[in-house]
Amino acid sequence: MEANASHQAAGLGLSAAQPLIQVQNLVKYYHQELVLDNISVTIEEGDLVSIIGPSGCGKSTFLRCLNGMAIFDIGCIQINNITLSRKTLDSPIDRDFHKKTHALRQQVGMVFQSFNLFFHRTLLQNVMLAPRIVQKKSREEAEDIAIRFLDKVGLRLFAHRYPAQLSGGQQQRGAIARALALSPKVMLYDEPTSAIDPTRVDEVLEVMRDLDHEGMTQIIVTHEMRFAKDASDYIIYMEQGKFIEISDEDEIFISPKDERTRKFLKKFM
Amino acid sequence: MYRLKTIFFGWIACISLVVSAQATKATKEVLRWGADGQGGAPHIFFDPKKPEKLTGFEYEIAKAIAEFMGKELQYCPNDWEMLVAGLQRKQYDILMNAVVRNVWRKKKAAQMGIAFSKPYYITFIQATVAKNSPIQQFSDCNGKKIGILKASKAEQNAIRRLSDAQTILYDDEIKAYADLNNHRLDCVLTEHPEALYYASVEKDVRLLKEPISRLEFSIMVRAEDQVLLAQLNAAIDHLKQQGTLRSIYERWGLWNEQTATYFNTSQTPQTRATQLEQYLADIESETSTGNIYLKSLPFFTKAAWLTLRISFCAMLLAMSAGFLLGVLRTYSFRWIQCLVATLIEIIRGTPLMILLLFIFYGLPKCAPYLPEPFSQWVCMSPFLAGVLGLAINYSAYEAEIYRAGFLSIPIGQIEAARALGMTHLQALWYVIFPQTIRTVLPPITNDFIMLIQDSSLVSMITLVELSRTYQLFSAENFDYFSFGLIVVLFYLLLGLPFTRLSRYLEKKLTAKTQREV
Repeated sequence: MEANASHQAAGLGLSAAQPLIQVQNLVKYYHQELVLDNISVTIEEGDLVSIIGPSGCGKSTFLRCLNGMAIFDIGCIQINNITLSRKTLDSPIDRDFHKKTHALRQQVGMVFQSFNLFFHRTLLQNVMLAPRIVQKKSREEAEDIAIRFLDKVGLRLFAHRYPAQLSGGQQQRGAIARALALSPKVMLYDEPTSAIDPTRVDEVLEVMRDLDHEGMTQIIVTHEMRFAKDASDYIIYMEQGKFIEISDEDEIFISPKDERTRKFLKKFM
Repeated sequence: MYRLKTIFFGWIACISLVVSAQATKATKEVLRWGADGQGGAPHIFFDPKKPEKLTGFEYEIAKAIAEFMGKELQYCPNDWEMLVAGLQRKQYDILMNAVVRNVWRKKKAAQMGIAFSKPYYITFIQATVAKNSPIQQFSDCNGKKIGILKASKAEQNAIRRLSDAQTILYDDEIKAYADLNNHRLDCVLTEHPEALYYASVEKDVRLLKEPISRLEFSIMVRAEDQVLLAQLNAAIDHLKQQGTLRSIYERWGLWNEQTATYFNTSQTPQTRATQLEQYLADIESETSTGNIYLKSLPFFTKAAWLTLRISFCAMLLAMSAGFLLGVLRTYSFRWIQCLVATLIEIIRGTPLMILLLFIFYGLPKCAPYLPEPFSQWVCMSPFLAGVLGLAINYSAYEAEIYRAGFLSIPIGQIEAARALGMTHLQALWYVIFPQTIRTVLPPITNDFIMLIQDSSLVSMITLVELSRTYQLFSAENFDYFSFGLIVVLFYLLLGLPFTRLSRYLEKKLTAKTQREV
């Protein structure tokens, strides 16, 4: 099944010589419980991929492995020519591995379910912080970048507000701007709209759609089926640590191949 | 971010400023004299009329001796029980405060590394009883309750000669005589000079005629200071021949048969006991007119300044050290965490007073076994020892406050920082620490106010701060009530600005970062 799925994914991104993201045979245990079960996938530059599936199936863990927040046990992740790999369960996590993880994070922006804006800083300072101390940019340069991205997510007027003074949707857009400020190659979203007032969800999705049009590669773990259906290049259905089905957005909703996918989607339709 | 840095360097600057202000430079050679001025009449005490002025017959003798030696007299106050320990740790060079030479066994003195000068005064133990007491002589005290001062060997020996008697120990004479008046005691044993001065203030007591034991007052020095000892003996001889000593004793009403025999002169006094009369009159008038309360204020102010400096330095140190301990306890490797946790438990399990005494009197004992710079460091000034003791004690509590603060920051904050490519240290410094400061500000202020009060314990190590000043004045003037009110007011005034400041900071820092409820 897995082999089949990865084959399909590879088949979907046709053109590029070197795909932007390549994951091979990823395995992760959490307290002896298998959370990621031999996952392989290839994602091309500019793709918008949605990952759906029941809670606890390993979606978030997969995402966190992609930016090194969680360390996988076996497998290989390659993003924009940075390769993290572990051959066996007891391969050491050495300095080199940490160094690569650090480099990887600068290529990968992450947006959390609970926004996690820094409470003690204004929106502008939130966005400026990483360019200043991680990329060592000057104050002026960082401020220019921050204003530009806040403008992009429509929050320029709110630059001097503190997170507590913003609505959930505004905070999440701010968090997206903060991740974008490091000019990453890939954006990861971990249920970005789950903690937001339903009436405010669209403003966040709109930002992601815009980014897609600009050619940003994005991976989204979501329960927002309508968005997954409308905006994704393709959708991955995940269950019990495996990619059960990878397919075109319409296909999976109209005629899911797998029985498990059908059962899951039935609850939403 | 430089806000944090400014605070950090500001701390260091503050500490170094206050500490350096402490360092004093000596110009003329000084004779450092250790004694306890609290309830110290007639030996050494503050003039009830002019509380800034030292007086007392031993004060006059010490001054005469220093003058003879061509040195400047420097008075180093210390607790009565700690006087010998202070001499050993070189807090002062001579100890002259009713030190009775003949109760010390030679072997014991040699063991402790101390030596004695010639006696400069001979006196005896005085038994004081209630006016209507059936006790006529000391042997009548069998089976009675007898009050004596702590660390008074001669009196203890005297009591041992009775077949059975209950001994009760007191900090100072005043409390003992007060209990005699209240009929909690049947008899008080003190040296004759103290009885003369303190018992006379109480109206319903009577001094027994019979002199008990023989007490030879002499000056104690460290055994290795042989030159100093010879100089002291020469000075005593000189003052004896000149008649200076005799005139001092006579003015203080202390000239007695025993000393006359020792000096080989006649017993009849040649001058009136003007000082004794003056003292009794002063005590009467000063407390009744309320003059002394006004006069005591500069002393309380000075003491409050010392209390404030000690508390402030100690708190800055405690906050910094506690922060470091808190970080290590929360974010370092497992084994360092265990180590720090153990350390914190040990510090929290040690009473502050023990810690202060240990640092001040205990540490210098290991000086001979330490290499060069350390052997000097362990013999630190009382101020430094006080600050260090308080800082160590409080840093343990601060560490736990910081830890609670760190743990109260949602995990998502550090995750977001890490996801943005910050290192662990950067995430702590830029994201966690600034948020923690806001959380821990109220409990830390609370601790600071507690520390101001706990700083009263540094009076154990010779520092005359607020509570010590309170004891001094109340003991001297037989009034624990009015001076109590004054000292409470001073403590209140010390704590209040800091409470206000922290309220203000708290409000300012949290105003915009928290949703209004």
